[in-house]
Amino acid sequence: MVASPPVSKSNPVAKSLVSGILSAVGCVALAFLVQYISGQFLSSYANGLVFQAATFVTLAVSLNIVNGITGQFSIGHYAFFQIGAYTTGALSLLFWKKFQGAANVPMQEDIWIVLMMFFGIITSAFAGWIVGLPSLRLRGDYLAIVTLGFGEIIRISAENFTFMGGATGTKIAPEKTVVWLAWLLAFAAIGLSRNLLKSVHGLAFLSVREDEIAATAMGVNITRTKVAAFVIGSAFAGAAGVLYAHQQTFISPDLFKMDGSFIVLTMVIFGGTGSITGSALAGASLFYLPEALRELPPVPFASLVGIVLGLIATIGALKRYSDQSHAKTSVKAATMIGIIVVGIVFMAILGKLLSFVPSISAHAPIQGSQLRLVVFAVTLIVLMLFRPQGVFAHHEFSWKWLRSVLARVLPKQKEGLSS
Amino acid sequence: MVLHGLFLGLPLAALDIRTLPQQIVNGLLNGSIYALIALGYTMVYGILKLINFAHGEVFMLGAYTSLFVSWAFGFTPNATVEPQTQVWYLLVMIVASMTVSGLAGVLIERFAYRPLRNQPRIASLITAIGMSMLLQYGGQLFLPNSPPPNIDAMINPYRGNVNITLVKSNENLVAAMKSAEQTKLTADSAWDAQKKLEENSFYPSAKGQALQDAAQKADRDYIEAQGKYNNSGVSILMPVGRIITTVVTFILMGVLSYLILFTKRGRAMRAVSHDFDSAALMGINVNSIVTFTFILGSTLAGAAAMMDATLYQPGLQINTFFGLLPGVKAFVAAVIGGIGNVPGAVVGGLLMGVIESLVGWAGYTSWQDAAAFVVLIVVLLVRPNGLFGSTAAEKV
Amino acid sequence: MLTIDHIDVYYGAIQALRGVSLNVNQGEIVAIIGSNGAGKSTLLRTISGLLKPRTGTIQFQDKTISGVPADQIVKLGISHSPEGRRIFTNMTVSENLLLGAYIRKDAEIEKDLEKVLLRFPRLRERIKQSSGTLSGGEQQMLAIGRALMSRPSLLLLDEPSLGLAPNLVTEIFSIVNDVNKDGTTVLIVEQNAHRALEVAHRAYVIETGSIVIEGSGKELLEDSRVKEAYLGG
Repeated sequence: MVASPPVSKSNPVAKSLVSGILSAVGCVALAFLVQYISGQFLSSYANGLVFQAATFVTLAVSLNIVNGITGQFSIGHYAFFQIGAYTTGALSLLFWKKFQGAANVPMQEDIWIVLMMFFGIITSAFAGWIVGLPSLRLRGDYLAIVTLGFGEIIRISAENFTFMGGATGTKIAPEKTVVWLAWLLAFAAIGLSRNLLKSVHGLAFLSVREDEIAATAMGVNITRTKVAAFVIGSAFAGAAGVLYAHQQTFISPDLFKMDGSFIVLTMVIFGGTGSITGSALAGASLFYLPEALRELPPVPFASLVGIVLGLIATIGALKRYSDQSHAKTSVKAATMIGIIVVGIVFMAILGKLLSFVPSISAHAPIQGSQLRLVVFAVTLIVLMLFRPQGVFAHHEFSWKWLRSVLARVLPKQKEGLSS
Repeated sequence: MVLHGLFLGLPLAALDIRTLPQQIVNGLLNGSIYALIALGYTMVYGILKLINFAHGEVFMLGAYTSLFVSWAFGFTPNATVEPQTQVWYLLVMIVASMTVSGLAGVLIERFAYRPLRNQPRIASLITAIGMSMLLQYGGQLFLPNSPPPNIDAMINPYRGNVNITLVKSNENLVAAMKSAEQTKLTADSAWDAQKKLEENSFYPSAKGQALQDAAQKADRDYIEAQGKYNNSGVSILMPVGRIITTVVTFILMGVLSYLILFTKRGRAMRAVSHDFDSAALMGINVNSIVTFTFILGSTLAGAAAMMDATLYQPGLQINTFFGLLPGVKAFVAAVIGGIGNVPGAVVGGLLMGVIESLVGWAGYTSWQDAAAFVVLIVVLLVRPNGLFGSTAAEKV
Repeated sequence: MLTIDHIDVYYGAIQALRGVSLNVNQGEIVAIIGSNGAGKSTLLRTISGLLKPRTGTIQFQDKTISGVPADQIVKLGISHSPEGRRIFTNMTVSENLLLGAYIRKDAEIEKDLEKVLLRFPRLRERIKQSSGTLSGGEQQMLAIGRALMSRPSLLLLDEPSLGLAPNLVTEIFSIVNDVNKDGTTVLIVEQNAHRALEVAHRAYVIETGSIVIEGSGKELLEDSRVKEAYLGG
């Protein structure tokens, strides 16, 4: 993130300390810069998007600690997010008015929210600990179901919190979009994951993912490592939930349906499980995708049917080709782009032809916002078919990595890397 | 203390032990639907070691098929003419919905799961989640929200009830009830006569008022006496439709168990579930066995969907999320029974129904859906392989 | 009977077999020896259709079988008893044997079952038992018996002696000899080179995915390179 300045090489501890402090200061500065730019130059709607992007980056990066780095397949991450939101919801309903009266200080809303984050972290980390415990006995899809079930239990419990509006939900105060705090949280999640991977503890987490038995043999305390991953991951999600609640100002169980967990999961998988930068970039971009769809003009129904059929054909053709061809990567990439182009033309023609069918052309056009989760689902399936390891796989995004990828995809002067 | 009101504003209803048998039977009858869906989960998991998250959506497609077939027979929600009632309509509906569900299951396997056969299992699991979301939200673009097929109008016997008396009502109370009835009838007729006289006056006269009060009191007394009489016995009311689903479930379970344990194809299925490569070396076409498994599981879901959609459930709507909750609960049932185990799935499904029923009986209706997951987590922690499962620890 | 012509086999990007060619004649026992990871099992898995060669062809009784799915190849008369036995431990001994005859629809399955049980009397004692409870030697016998149930003309055996006590090894190899005498051609892959070369009419040595030496069983037993590398000098 922030380049560390030259420090005398004689003292590595001092050096790492200084660079750590500088990074932290840099992150804070960057977070405030984002807040300033976004508050100054963007509409309040766009400002909200900048805020939510940070929330989803936090969620994705924190789920990556559990799913990617430690290899515990959790598909109920929204539960912790919801716990954070409901913690601040309950406390704000009860005490915010009193606090407001008692401490009339500048930025008191921000101070309150920071305070709430503290409580949100405690409750969600505790929940993470509870969920982490069964992970000792359960693996793979069984653990996945337990996390899913836990998420549903939390959501249904919230429906029964009558004082918080039950299934309808409740309005909470203070109403505040704290962009700097959201981004600072995201940076903290990224920084913590990165430091984790560089430390000995990080190796313990990775070893649990790769082979639990071998990890035990190496003296790694599996119990502690797994539970720690759940606690850290859920603490971040809970903190993000607190911020989200104050931005939304109205929280209800409906905000935290199963789909939310699946969306965060998609982000992690998309970025490449284990890749921190991958999760962060996927979190930001996949969060924006549905928002972009909202801007889309209504799609005629015929075109939509054309796109669906064309997409199935294109995906089928691509999958067939990529499985059977042993050509060079550059040739393969070029051919696949060709197939995609043909596929798009096919979709357009099909859409046009279908518009002549009376029953199809009579159908009301489809709004972009209706396609939100459909697009997620298709992304997930296509990703699994073609690159199950995610866009970045286990790599981190860096210019070096990008260069090496481009070197493989683009035709090269000297021969090599053909298999 | 405020907290009680805050978090647990739940009345602990007075548990009425006499309604318990009825609740248990309700649970068993409802659970048979879960059991049918659970069979599909359990078989697919047994073969592919994959949680087929899209199974609930296969069920949903079956329900839609039943709906559309019933429309084709003229039972549209706003039909002006009462259509003819025929028993064979039901058969056409169930066969159509089994066919469509079976087809959907096979297509999903062929195009979403098979290409990932050699990838890590997590990849298929994620694809299954994606497939389920795609059918739920993508289906919304094409499929209508609608009240379920109007089966009550379609066929009468389906709607009837079977009443079983466990404890006979106290005959000593019959006399009291009879006399209360007599009083009620006299008071009613007196009030009716007076009502006719006072037809034109806006306010009732004092005499009319007294007669009305007397009639109302007699009504209440009669209802009370009747209630006393009825409550002195214990009986169970079973809707015929539910009985049919339960019987069908058990027949299908029997057929399935026989198929898997005693036929050549069943042996091949077990071989494939053990090891794909070794099965192929026996000359077993692994893909066709997998397809066959998906056909079996999905057609069962289709049958369950038709039966569930046509049973009278107040306020029920068929939409693309129709399969979500039954699917999830059936899955929980399959896990409870030990996933991969056919009788286990049925027992798990019935258990699921009973637990839900009992949670409702205890007055926690709004917690019914959560109960399924609490049970799941408890069972997995106590017996990670389910009640009847015996497979070794999970490896991914 | 079986002719393999310059096949290349890959696991993803890793090449496991490089231009392997060999042939097996009717009635022979042919052994393939080599060390761990040399590509022996890969070769058998390619013949039986579990793997596909990227280049080269495999011909069996004048039919090209490279690229034919495994379950179809069984029907052509090739039966493969895989490495590590891979019996169906969730089923009984008799169910395992009946699965061996899965492709058959004739009336003589019972007769062949009886034949296998005569050959392996120990399996008869355990016929209703879950096969997971068998000892290693019994499991190996079950694997061979199961492979014979399809009435193969070519039997592929992958490391039948692996992990067995010496007297059981002797028993297994004498059974292989008997099976061959009854008219089944055998292609056997072994790390136990000495035993394999003793029973084999011809043999191939495979190293890092290529055939390096071939000859009759006797020749190879005398070969100095084979002696040094596989027979303990």
